[in-house]
Formats: sequence, C-alpha cells, structure tokens
Amino acid sequence: MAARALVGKRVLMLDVGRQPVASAVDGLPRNANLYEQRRTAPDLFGPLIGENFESLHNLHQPPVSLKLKSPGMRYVVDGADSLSPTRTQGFEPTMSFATGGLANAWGAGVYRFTAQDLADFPITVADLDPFYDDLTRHIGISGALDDTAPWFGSAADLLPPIELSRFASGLLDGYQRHRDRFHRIGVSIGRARNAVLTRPHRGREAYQYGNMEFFRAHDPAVFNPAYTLRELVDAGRVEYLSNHLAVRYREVEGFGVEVEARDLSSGTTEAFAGRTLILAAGALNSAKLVLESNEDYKTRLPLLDNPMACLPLFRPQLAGKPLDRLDSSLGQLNLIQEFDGTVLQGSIYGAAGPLRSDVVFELPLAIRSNVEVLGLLAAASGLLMMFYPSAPHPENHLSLGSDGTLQLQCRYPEAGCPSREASIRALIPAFWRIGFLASIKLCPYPPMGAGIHYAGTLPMKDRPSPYELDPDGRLFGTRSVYVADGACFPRLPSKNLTFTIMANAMRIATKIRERVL
Amino acid sequence: MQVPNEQSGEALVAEVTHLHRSFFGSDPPVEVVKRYVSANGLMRVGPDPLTDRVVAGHLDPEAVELALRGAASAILRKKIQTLFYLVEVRSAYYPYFFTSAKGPLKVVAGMLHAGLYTLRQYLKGKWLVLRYHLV
Repeated sequence: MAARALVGKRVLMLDVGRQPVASAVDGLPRNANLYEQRRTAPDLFGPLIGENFESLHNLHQPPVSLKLKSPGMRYVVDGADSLSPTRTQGFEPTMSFATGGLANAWGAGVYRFTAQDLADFPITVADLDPFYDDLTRHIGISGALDDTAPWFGSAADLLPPIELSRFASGLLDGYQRHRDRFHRIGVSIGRARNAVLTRPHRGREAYQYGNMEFFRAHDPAVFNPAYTLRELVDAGRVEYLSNHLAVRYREVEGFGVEVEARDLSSGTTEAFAGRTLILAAGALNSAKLVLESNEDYKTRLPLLDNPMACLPLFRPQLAGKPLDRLDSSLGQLNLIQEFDGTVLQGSIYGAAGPLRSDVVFELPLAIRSNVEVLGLLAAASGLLMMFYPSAPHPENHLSLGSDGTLQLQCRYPEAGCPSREASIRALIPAFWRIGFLASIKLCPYPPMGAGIHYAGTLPMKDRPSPYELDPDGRLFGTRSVYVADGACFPRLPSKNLTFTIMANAMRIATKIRERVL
Repeated sequence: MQVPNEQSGEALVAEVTHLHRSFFGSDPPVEVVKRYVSANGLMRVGPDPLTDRVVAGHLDPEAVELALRGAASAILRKKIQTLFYLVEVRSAYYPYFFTSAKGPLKVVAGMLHAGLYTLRQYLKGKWLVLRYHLV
C-alpha cells in the first residue's frame, strides 16, 4: 500500500512473490457452492485433497492453519521454512512469501483503530483517517452503521453487509432483543466489517457465497493487496521484481541505500540502489533484515501477537437443519467486549469452511459418533474467535541467530491483556440467555503465533532509540530506511491490524514523498 | 503420486480394505485404494504393530482406537483419518458425512445414539485390548 502513495516516484519492489499454482480447483465453476459441488461432483480429490495430498499435511508435518493446507492455498506458506528458518519457544509463527503475503488467506476483517487503540502510538486517529477513507473506497468494505461503530470508526462509503446465515442472523436477533443485558456486561454485537464486496466494485465481482475460502485463492470479491500491486504495475507506477529475497541493506553516504537481494532463480546475489528504502516484509522479517544489516546477533526485539480464545457456540433450534448456503468462512458478526478496562474484539464465524475430516478427529466420541454429531450440529454451530491486546514483555522477544535463524520466544502470552478465561466466562451466560449454548470447557486457547497478527518488533516512538522508529516510520540512526508494516506498532489492540498497517504504510509513504523531492 | 517406501503395497491394500469394510461396510473403490497406498508412502508411516494386529485379526478399528485413544493408537488413528479424507470428497459418501434435514426428535435420538454407541465401542475396545493383548 505504501507504493500507492508514492505517486510520481520511481518505485522498485523486491519480493519473493509466490503465486497461486495451477490446481484442480481452477476447474470448478467460479460461482459454485462448495457443498453443492461436494454433493454432485463424483470425485473432488484433486481440488480438495490434491494430487500430492496437500490437505493431509497436518497428519504428518507440523500443523498449519486449516486455511493454508489445501492444494489451492499451499502457495501462501510454501517455502517459508527454508526462506526464513526459525527456532521457537512458546510461539508458533506462520510466514508467507506470496505476493500480498498472509492477506492471501486472511479473514478480511477491517477495523479502524480508535483513539484508545492508538493510546501508546506517536500518531493519532486524525493522522490515519484520510488513509482509512481512501482505502475504504479503494478496497470496497462491507459493513453497517450499528452498535459496533463506536469501536470501528466511520461507516462512510461502506458497501452493504454480507448476507447472514441462519445461525448468525439468529444470534444478532437475540442480541437485539436483549441488548440491555448485553450492554450491562459491556458487550455490543454488529455486522462484520469485511474487505469483501457485496456488489461489483472497481472491476471486481461481488461475493458469490461459494464458501471456497479454504480451497481457492484470489476470490475477486475478497480483497488481496496483490490486486493493488497488479494495478500499480499495469499502470507503470511500480517496477516489480519477483523471486528476489532481500537479505540486508546498507546506507551509502551522500546517496541513499543499497539493498542486497538473492535471486532465487540463479542463487546469485544482486545489489539494488535507491534513495529511500521502505521495509514491508512483515513484522518478523523486517526485523530480521534490520538485525542482519547491523550484524547484530544479540539484541532482543519486542514481539507481539494477539492472544486468542475460540468459543464454539451451538443453537439447538438449528440442530438437524440442512447446511446453509449463506454460511462461509467469512466473519459474519463482530463482537466488542469491554472487560476489565480493556476493549476486546471477536468475530463470529460459521463452521462450514474446513473438511469434515479436519474436525471429526478433534471430537471426543467414537469416530462414527463424531460424524453423526457433526452432521446433526453443523448448521447449528459457530465459532466466536476472540482476540486480545498484546503489550511488550521482556520474555517475549525476537532475535537473530548467527546462523541467520530467527529466534522467537513467548513466555508470557497474556502480557497486556486481561484473563482470557475470565472474559469468556463473562460472555457465556448472555449467549445462553438468547438460546446459544457454550461451555468454557470447550474453549481452546490457541498457542501464541496462531493469531498471525505479528507486530511491535521495531516500534514507532516519539523519542526513538536503537531499533525503534520515529513517528514517520524512519529507523533510528538511519537517514533513509523506513519501516511500513506491523513492526511499527508499539502495542497491539484487540482488532485485526491489517487495515491499520495499510493506512499507516500510506501515511509513511506520503511523508516520504513530500520529503524526497 | 508417490509410492510407498516402508510398508508393502499388499499390506496397505489389506489395511485399507479392512478399515473401509469396518466403517462403510463394503470394499473401497479402486481409486481410494490407490490413493491410500500413495498417501501412506508420502507420509512415510511405517508398519504399525497395532494396526497390523487389528487388520490381521479383523478387529474393530474404531473400538480399539477409542479404547487406546492417545499415543498408543496415534498411527491407527492417522490411518483411519487418511481414509476419511480420501472418501469424504467423493459424492457417493456425501450422505455419510452430511445428514439430511431431521426434526427435533430425530436429533435428540441421534445424539443419544451417538453417546450410547460411543460407550458400547469403548467397552468393546477395552475388551479387545485385553482379549488380544494389544498393548
């Protein structure tokens, strides 16, 4: 997104740039519904499992998100282990070297940060608002002006919200009937704000409710930064060099910056010179580049990710009902919980995204009973994924080994956030009241790293010190090295950070454009 | 597709045939057999004494897996899960995984059945473990 703001400048983007690979899923009709296909197509082995058994990945290799293992989606994380090897303790990272990065498989939730969210940032809402506004029009965001608006910011230019499944509309109805009760415990629920088109927008189609998010890449209705990059390249505003892995940079006196990158095709190393360098390799790899460039194998940088809790919800009224065409793996509703002086954010999803075999073997009964119960409860089930804020802690850090391995440690997952269990316990009675059953015993707390909202490694500060950024994103001690990804964030509020990464990248790039004549 | 490298093709065919008969009551389709053999090769899952004894003795894999759930039956469980992945993407198995609409009474009956069936399988599994000295 930084490149969008660099109008009139010569921009070269170095990227590994993994692309979706041709797979059998391409042969399925674009607007086909997953479950209609599964009911009628004799054999979907190729699209859903893959000729190399990609969807069986978690059976024999360290598990990845269910959304990242199908043959059509593997490209998102392919090669990450070798391109950026890690040693971890208490932190399970997911990295992407695809064009557009992890936004190739994101939940597409887009929320503006409020003044409270930005309390520890050296920038304000007013600094970001023009870019939020511009991006809302550029991306196409669906949502509504409802009870969550005070936490999600302006609803101007939103597209209509996505259609709700029976499960989600029942929950929203229940909330609206018992709004006072929910408000008494600090809870507000509203339509999801998603970077998903509900009507055609800037040449992209509206969402077709195909529920293919776990299997097919680049749904035109779901925004992906790769779409913006393609526009910029086609318009001649960006020169894009893929298959290049940036390794380190050095400032050149009186000129600018030289970047050393490995050509992954030939294995050779090339140097690229420019007046300004904007790092946007993700919070983990931007930090790695900075440490490598300083040959610093000792310093520990802060490491943030949103802790999570996943609360299954059941609506008995819907048990035994057929699958809902409107169910999908997109967020249907958003929930705000003000708890213990902190704002927590959750998204409510249906349960129709993954393969049944991904879920059946996680349940406690005999296998056939698990299949039977899942069949009866699928349309009656949903998942509340709660995200919690994160603050720096000395025991949660990133460093670089002398062998070039990223070392990631998280010993205090709940640094800066209230008790996850207590917050979930506070929610459950309100859900029961409106006919949605839930139990704390069924609520897992995924390991740190599972939130995939990495941030805070090179934080912006009013008075930066080494390995920190000034409010314009410039790295301390440098003249022309900037950072424009999640690394900038000094803290993580509970909201998905992607929209703010985009807005902040444009803000930083605008400052650079104004400075570099 | 990969070929198996640690367990013979014949053994894997016998294995998938037994697992499929146990869960679905018939022999597996040819494509499923081929894919099961290839998947095991790719996963480099070697011979598993527990699975071998379940197959050789024509024992109930579901009951044994439930009774030993955990590390002792991890490979057997993976093998069953592999089979389930391979069949659930075929429309012929759609009714097995996706129940048609049911009224409240049938839902309650189905849930009760699932619980009682689990209890039965657990007890059966425990008996099989003792009877055949499976661990």
